[in-house]
Amino acid sequence: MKVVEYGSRVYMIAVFSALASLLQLLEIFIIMPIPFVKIGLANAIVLFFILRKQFMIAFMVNIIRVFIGGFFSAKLFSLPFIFSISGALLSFFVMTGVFLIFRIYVSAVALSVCGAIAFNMAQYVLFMFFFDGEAVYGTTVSVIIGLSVIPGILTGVVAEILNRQDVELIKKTR
Amino acid sequence: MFRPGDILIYFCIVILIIIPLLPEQNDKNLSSRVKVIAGNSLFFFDTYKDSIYTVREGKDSVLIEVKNRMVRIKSSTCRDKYCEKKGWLKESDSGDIICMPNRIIVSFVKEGVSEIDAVTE
Repeated sequence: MKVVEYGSRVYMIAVFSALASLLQLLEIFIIMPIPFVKIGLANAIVLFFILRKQFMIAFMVNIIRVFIGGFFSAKLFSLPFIFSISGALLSFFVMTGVFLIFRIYVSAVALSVCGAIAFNMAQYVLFMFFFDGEAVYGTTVSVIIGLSVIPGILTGVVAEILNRQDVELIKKTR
Repeated sequence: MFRPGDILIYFCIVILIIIPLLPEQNDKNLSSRVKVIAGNSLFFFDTYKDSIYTVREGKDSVLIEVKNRMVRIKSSTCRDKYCEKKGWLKESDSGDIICMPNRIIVSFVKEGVSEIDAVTE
């Protein structure tokens, strides 16, 4: 049975982009004990679609939610937006790449951790490029990778739980 | 929640975290030399060879001892001997030994590392 067709794909992109954007905006109200650390719940939706091998939907949701998030936080096409979209793109390609290489031998949690690290590293490299001239592989990178692991695990657990559910929205789109 | 491939990924992450935390060992591998400025003259001494050098500046002279990758001014003809009291300077130290009366500055320089912090035009 073919579950997803062209028309329904657009519908799902719209619905899940809205959901991801909402999660991204609601995250502002979640206070984390460590500064500069975000859970990245919107990434759980992207990861959910990667796990379902619907890479195009995952890619579109990832891009659209960054645009919507940037629009509502009044940072569209600004420097934080460039950081955000670069991180989102890199994390998507890393998660997809790791998933395609390891396939069933890797869990959503590990994929999510890889994505979180890629997201933060992209932002770090861009920040250093714009403000410091060059990015150095030093203690800062170590701290960034370390801090990426905790939100990565949280997001991965959410994506794994989502993946285990029989989501009706995907089956009854038309 | 856990699959066999995760082990490899987590291992790689741990390696990526640990490697930058070992900068000290990388620095030690960089060979450094003792730089001596004596008036308008400049000398470089190797740190891997223990020896004593005599540096003359005008009528005055200074004995510079290099030992165990450390350097000190062993004796000086200056009056106050502040340079001798400074003692040993290690490779990891950032300071200099300065003998003002004899116009001598002793410091370490790492090879391949630029001493210029910034350039303005």
